[in-house]
Amino acid sequence: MPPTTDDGPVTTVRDGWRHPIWLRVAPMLFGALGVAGALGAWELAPRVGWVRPTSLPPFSDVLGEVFVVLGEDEFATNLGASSQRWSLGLLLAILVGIPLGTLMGRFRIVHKLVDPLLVVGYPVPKTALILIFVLWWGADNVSRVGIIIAGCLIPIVISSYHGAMAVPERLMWSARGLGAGGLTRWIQVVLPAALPQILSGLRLAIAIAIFTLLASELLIRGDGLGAYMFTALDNGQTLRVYASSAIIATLGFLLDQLFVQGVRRGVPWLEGDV
Amino acid sequence: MGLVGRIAASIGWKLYPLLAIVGVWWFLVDRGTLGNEFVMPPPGKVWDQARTMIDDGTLSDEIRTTFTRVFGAYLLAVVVGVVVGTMIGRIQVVRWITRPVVSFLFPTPKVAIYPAMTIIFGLGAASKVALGFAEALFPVLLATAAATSQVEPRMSWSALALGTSRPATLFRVIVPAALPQILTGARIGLVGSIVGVYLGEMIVGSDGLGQMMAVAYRTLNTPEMYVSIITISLAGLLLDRSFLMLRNRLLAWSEEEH
Repeated sequence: MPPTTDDGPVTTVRDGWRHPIWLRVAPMLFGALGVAGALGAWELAPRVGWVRPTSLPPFSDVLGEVFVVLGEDEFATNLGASSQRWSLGLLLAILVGIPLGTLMGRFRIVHKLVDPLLVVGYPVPKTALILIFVLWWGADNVSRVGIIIAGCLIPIVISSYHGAMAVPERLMWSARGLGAGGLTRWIQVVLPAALPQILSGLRLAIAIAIFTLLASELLIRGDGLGAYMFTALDNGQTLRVYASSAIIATLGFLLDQLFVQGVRRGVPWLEGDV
Repeated sequence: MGLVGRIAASIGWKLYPLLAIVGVWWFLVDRGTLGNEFVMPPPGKVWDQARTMIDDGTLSDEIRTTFTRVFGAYLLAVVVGVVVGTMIGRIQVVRWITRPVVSFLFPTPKVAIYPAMTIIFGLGAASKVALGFAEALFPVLLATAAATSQVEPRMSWSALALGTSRPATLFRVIVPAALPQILTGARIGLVGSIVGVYLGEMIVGSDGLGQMMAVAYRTLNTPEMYVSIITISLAGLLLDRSFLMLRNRLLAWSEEEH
């Protein structure tokens, strides 16, 4: 954006650079340059000898390994196990978190009851709970899904709470005046009005769910993507470690983009970004 | 009441539900409702364990180890985040070049790269600092980039017109004007670096609070697990609160809601 004043756009000597076509092409051009530079440095560093190839294999080798890993049954099985935990944990956290948060926003008494728990739970690093959950429930899916719920519940509750609290009272009065009961008001007024905040909480929760999932799998092994990575690390398969890291990082990025684009398409009336 | 007093008061106010929970915890363990005392030791047993570790100095050693790493990682993240973030916010070419890379790295789970970090940096302190840095960097960087790009242009024009040099404008106008948002990002980053370092210590390593948790789990010293998680939570709460207080004091001039 060129700087503007109240009197219109500022004109400078370099205005040739602000031609509309240039402004559209330049970000892509320089962006491609940035990506090429980063990947090029990754490719060159081990080849030239800035780092040992055994600690950082060149990009092209890792890319080749990515396709090998993607074609493996073992990777697919572990990806399946991880996805199941991730979606189940996130789903349960949503099913509990959104009603709880919105009720907190609408009823003082619920807020008074739940808020102290949030205050205590907030500063506890959720990943520190992983081994304690295993101590309570064993190393199976109860703890593994439980830790995902513990990780993303608070952001969902807090964002739903803020969303529901900000619902204009007039909307509630109108709905009541039109004869809408409590449940109808909740579904037809509170939830839609709180949606923008709930959605930004969900975006955060998606990322936190991946984080806690991987952390728990790296810690308690068994199966799943984290365990798969750690087995590769233990076996000294450096290329495989990098390839699986790259795949998981890309998956995390794609999930986030899928959510952002989905919201942009599905809820076009939403102002700003999630 | 001085600043320290206010921080203490604010934490004390936050602690009353904690005390209530400890009371309930004690009561339930006492009645046997929570089942096995081994899995859920009473608060008294955890406190005894903590006292032993305080007396022989192990607890303070582990705290020092972990938080030296946390501060190292955090300081590095703030310096890199503010410098690079300001460049992204102020220089359009830099913004264009870095946008795809930054928007890819921001939402990706950093912990996915942790096994690779242990290959590059080894199993010692460096890999934990690297994870803490990675977790803390992006909140600082993105907040700085957003804030410095939105600074009212008239402010830097006035400074330039009054004879301030361009680099001086950066430090005396742009960064101070962006400070409220930068500090908001920096607060999120602080929590990120604590979580990153602790997690790194739990997964592999030989010392620190996170490793204390992992070793206690393996040797089935359950009270020690609770000592570890309570210590890291309290230390995190203390740092976060202190940061918030300092931020509000530093930003007493700003109109932004604290």
